[in-house]
Amino acid sequence: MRSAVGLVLLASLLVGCRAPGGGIRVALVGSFETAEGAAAQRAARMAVTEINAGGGIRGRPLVLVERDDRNNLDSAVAVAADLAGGNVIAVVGHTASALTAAVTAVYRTGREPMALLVPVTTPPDLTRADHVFRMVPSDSAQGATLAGWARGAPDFARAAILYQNDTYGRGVRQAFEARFTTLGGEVVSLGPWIEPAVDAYLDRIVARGDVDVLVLAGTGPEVSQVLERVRTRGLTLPVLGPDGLVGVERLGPMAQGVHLAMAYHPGAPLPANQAFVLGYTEGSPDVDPPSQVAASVYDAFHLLRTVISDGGASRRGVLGALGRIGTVQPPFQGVTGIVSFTAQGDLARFPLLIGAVEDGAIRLVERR
Amino acid sequence: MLAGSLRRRLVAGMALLAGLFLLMALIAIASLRSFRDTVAGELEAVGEGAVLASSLMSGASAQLRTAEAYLVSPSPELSREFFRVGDNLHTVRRQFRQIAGLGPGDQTVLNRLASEQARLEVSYATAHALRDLGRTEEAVAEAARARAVVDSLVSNVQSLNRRQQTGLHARTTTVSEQARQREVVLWMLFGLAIAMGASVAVLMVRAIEAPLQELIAAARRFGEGDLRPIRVASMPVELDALAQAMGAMGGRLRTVIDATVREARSISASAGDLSAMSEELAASSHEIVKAIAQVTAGAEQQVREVREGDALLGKLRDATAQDLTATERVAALGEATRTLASRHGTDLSTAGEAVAALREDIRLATGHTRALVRQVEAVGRVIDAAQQIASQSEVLALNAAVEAARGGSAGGGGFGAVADQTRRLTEQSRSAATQVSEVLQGFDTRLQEVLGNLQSAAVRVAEADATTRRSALALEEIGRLVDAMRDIAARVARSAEDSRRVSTRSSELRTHLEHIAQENVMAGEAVTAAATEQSEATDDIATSAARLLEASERLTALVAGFRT
Repeated sequence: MRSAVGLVLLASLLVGCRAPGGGIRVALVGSFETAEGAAAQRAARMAVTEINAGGGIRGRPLVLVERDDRNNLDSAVAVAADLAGGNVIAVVGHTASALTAAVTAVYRTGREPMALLVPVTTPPDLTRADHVFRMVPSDSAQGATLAGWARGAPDFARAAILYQNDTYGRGVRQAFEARFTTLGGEVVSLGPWIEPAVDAYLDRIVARGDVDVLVLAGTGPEVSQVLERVRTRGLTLPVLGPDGLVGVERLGPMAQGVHLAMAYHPGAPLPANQAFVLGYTEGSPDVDPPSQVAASVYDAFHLLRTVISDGGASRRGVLGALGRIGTVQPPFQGVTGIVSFTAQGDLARFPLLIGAVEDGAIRLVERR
Repeated sequence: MLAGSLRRRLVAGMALLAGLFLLMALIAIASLRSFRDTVAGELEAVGEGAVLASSLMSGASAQLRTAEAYLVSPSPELSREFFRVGDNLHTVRRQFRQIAGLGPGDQTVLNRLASEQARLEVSYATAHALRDLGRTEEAVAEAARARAVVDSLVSNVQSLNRRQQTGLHARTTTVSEQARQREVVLWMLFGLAIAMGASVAVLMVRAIEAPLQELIAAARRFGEGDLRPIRVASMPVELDALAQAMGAMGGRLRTVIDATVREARSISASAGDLSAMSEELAASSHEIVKAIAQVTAGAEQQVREVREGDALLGKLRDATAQDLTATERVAALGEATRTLASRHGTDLSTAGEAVAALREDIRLATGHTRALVRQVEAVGRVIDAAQQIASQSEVLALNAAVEAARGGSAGGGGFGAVADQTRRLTEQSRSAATQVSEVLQGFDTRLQEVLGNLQSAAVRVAEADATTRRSALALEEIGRLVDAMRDIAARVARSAEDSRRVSTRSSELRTHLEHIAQENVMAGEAVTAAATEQSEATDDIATSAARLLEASERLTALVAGFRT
């Protein structure tokens, strides 16, 4: 009997011990065909390379698992389900707000809940789940900031909002509308879109003739197409938008004067940010400066190195350690600024920037 | 050591079983809690899903009504209501995504719902814009496209409900499967516990049975009288203690048996001795009977002799009375003799006193005579001294004559005169001394004669005094003899009185002795009877001793059956 007990104990020990030296698998999920996805991928590889060059985490290398959601809800759900059942211990993604909002619950369905570090703007209620940590301000924060700026010096009184009818666009629209109305403004026209077919809305804005400012809430090439339609239609209204408008500066003169709210600007004078930007573009002169998504992804991987060192290379350990950042553990100093989390997984403090497109580039106008 | 003690084995086995049952209980509790949490979560999810699905459906209907109403009668309020309801619908859908247990299929349906709702909203919003612009036909056409989405939207909501139900069934199946697996685990643990309990029981039985058989065999051997030491193999502590106790008991039994054998033999010997002693006692009883008979006869003889003694005492009493009379006469004679002796004693005393006075006178005369002798002697010494002086005076006269011769006539004349005077004086003194000495010698002779006469008188007085004293002593002796005779007579009288009292007492004693003798006779008869009874008891003792001997022999034979 004693020998049997000994065998059981030995087997328990063998099972309980994990062979050292294996890599720590962390996933990046995004739409790598899009500009944001590609930027996130580049930033993630850069961060993982730096981490492994520094000896990995507790002597173990960090293994980057890249999964493309093809900017599609169903594909994103499938990828999330696959990762939830796999052996990665944390996920950074997705690179589209709508996809992220659609799959957060999936990462909770595996053998253990898995931390999801979100590098893009998402609805406030996204962090209702305790496994989601937002690396950027929420939609409502950007929308509210934008409304506050609009009701400030420009003193826009009546606004029309054309928004991408997805989680992101609706979130910005709702936050802007609520804050703008509170500050005395009036939203006189709302125009959701899925495809950039906004002529009817533009005709109505023109017909009203009392709109002071046009807010475009969307991301990707679609929002650029909408802006292009606006300018083509001959509307010269001031155009505002969230960080989803990053990229419209490539439209050239049509984007001239567009103001946008954002959480990151590559020109931020932080030394870490400067080093990041330099490393991000080094050797690739054609590569655009890192976007907010790229910077957040970069910060997310370095943050994971910290929390895995603290809580261990497990899903539960990462979740626990992330919850201690900014409370029990000191805040994380990243290229986007100081990262610390509230109990709901939101950034405890964050700067929001107002930029303006000038001559094909985004110039910092105000820091709020 | 664990294997060395039944108690520890039992405790270990019970602890193991308790641990297993505790593990079973913990697993059962964990299973129940997990099942409870799962069921509660599923019920909550189901409830939340049902509410949200209902909200989705009602929200979609509300949004449709508002959208259609705006087309009929546009107003800012309806427009705001249209977007507000739409926002709520999106919120509900996002909440739906957070329901626990949603699978990828559910998320895909939700994705389709989101897409259709977004498309519906865009279509209606576009229609509203067209309506606002007065482009009614385009608005109607756009609204028609929106309505085409409604069916799909409703279908997807229904599909979501069905998936929820299917998912609930699947999760119920999963929970049931988990419960079944836990049940299997519990049964396995239960079986394991039973098996382990049975194993423990078998091991315990085996651990007890073999040593117990050895102990039973040893006990049986003891019961058959074989008390030799038991030798058992290694066994549990408790049974080992029992074996040791049995061994000790056997040892003590051996000791007892040995002692019993010795005592039985001793009893046997004692019984033999007792039997012999009883026989001797019987013999001595017979002897006692005989002696008692002799004593009885002696007592009767004693009675007779006492009676004879009584007759002799009567005679003695009479003789004593006669002695008493003679004694009284002796006493009277003694008294007369005493009186006479006393009177002669007085005369002798007077004579003694006269002799004593004469002796005193002689002694005084003797003293005076001796004093005269000493005075004569002193006068003689004076005469001697006078003669000495006369000698010296003669020497002095001679010397004076010499000096007178030397001095011649001038000077020697004085010396010669002195020498002459001195020589004459000396001759006169010597002549006087010679005369006195002659007188004194005659006086001393007379004194010596007187002294001799006094001494002779003293001797005769002493003789007379001695005779007187002896006479007085003889009288005193006569007196003492008379006193002795009187005492003897008194003692004889007292003796006679005593003899009379003794005789009287002897008569009483004789009566008493007769009574005692009679009693002795009776006691002798009683003793004879007792001796007879004693003889019979002695016979009984002999019988008992014989039986005791037989019993001790039987006990010896019985104890001899034990093997020690």
